[in-house]
Amino acid sequence: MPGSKRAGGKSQARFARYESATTIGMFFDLHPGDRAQANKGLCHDVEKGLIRISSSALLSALTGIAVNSLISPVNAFIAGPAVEWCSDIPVRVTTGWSLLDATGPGSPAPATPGILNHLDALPDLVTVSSFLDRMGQAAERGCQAALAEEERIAAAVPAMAAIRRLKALEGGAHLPALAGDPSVLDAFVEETVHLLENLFSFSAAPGEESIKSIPEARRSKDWLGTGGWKQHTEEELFRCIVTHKALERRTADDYAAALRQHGKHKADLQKLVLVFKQKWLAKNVPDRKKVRLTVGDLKVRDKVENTYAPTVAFDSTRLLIQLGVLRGARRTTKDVGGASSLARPPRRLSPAGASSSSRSPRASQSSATPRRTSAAARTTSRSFGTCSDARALAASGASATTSFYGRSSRTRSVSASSSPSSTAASITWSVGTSTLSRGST
Amino acid sequence: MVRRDEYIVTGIYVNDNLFIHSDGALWSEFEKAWNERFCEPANALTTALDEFCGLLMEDLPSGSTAVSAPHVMQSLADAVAPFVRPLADVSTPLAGDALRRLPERPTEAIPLMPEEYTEIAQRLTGITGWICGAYLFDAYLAFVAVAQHVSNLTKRVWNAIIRRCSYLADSRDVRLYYHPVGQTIPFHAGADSSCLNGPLPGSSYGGYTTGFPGSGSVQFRCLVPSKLTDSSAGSETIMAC
Repeated sequence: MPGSKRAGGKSQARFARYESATTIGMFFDLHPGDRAQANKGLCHDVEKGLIRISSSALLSALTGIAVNSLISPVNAFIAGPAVEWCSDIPVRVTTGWSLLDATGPGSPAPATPGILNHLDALPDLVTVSSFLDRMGQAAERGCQAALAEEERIAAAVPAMAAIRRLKALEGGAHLPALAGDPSVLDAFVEETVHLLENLFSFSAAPGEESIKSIPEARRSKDWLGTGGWKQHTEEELFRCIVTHKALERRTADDYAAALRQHGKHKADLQKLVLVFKQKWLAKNVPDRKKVRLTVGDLKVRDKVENTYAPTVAFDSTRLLIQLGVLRGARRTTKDVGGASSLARPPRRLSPAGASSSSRSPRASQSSATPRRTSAAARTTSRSFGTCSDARALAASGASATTSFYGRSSRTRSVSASSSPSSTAASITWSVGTSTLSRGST
Repeated sequence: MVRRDEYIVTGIYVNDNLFIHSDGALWSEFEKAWNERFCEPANALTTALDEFCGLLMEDLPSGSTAVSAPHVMQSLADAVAPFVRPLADVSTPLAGDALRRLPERPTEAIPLMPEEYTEIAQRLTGITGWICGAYLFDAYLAFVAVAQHVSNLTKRVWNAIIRRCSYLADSRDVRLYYHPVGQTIPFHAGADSSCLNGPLPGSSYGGYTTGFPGSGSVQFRCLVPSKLTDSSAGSETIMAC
């Protein structure tokens, strides 16, 4: 970092000798002092941010992967924890990081010349623990310097003195109150220490479950038991089929009748999808599981028009809370269970194609605009119409993705239909009709 | 819904519902009809501690209500944990000179962050934006100011994002309190701005808030006015309008 030393000083003259160095090897070559002085100077300049070492190069050196990225001739490399062998018997486990001579007996192929030739006087710089210690000490010195600066300001500025008094009342760590960009030291610590931490903790990062079908859920270790995927799947199917009667058995004749009545492009097939969702309280802390049956085919301009649901703004929510507090009112929250499958069409077709009317409960519950609904009939190999069927479906491991068709919402009527189907677990599946409200839950 | 001195006010978010009600016969009728319609058990559980759209509302003995969002806060803490700097100053959500320096072009000293950091920055910005917009609005200015520069993700912008996230994560115990301040107190509104702190000369960040004095803010915004002014009074007028 040229121009970082005080002009005219000895250090500036010394710095001018090696400021053009782009590698640590060049640094040692150009440094006018002896090796000990150069080592001391390197530590000093790194801590002061006058010399920056690429974090990737440093990481590579620390993990013994690519010492050759760090210049200068030397036959050595850094090794992590390892087992020492005598014949075929392990005699000792080395812990921590060590400097090995690549030319020694039993060592791997000689490493490409690197930094270590010049670091024999300061191997502690490149061992992980001491490196972190040194950075921590440097950070502490930076913190103390900031506090001293703060104290100097507080002596002249009453506001700062007041801030310090208030901070003292709050207790906690005695840290600088001054705001500002992170120091060079901060940046150095960020780029090195945390890369190291990430490196060492990376393998412990949890992976979220990604389950896309009942068979996948069945293979999960959380399939059985209370609160498992099986229980939630059965509950969702039970709710759709039995509680809300959102799925009804239909036949292929219904589909044909709907096509005859409304025309070829007025009755459409859509997808029903079971969504498996693992909720998390925190990283590595799973919360509950959630299984939802919903529509997987969102087509805005084609077969199914979009629907709208109200989404209250935070401003309104806060106003409600405030008004409730002012009036001493009760507050209750309610969730419409299985909302995604609750909608009923305004008109319903009989299997023969005749229509009858019914009103959509969702339309009156949660739609700010006149609700547009689509109806559907499942057409693929599996369907169900009773609670036991639903449980059997879950137990049989049927695919979570099925198809249905829905009537164009412009005519506000429902189609039905479908195809009979295959069997599994000795159950004959026929076709069900599902009327789904979309864009919800 | 109002019937004589009974009332039910509702906020609906798709299938989640928040009801503020007088808990009388009207509510009983409504709840009975609700349970029949949506096949809910008659003794549906309601408690003094409940959640709506991610906001946790807790009733306090004094009649006040505390609002927080512990789940989102935990998500933020998890998301930012790999990037926090030890001993970094997070006493404020924004560095003192950030408004002036955030728009600066990348340099050798302040380079652009690697591409993979952009997605992380956007995610962190999204989470903190939700938190600031929901209930912790002391970091709203930091959110608005930094969010404009996520596409120009220099080291400085990245540090500002991490600083804001760390500040909010450290503020996880802070809640928004609504107090029963008395129904005779008028609703107040206030606006504030300055012609000096904006990203361009003459522009300013500023905002407004409304609510009952002595209680938590009901509405708040922090934004960059589209029209430039050359005085604080002008800026405040724009904000107030």
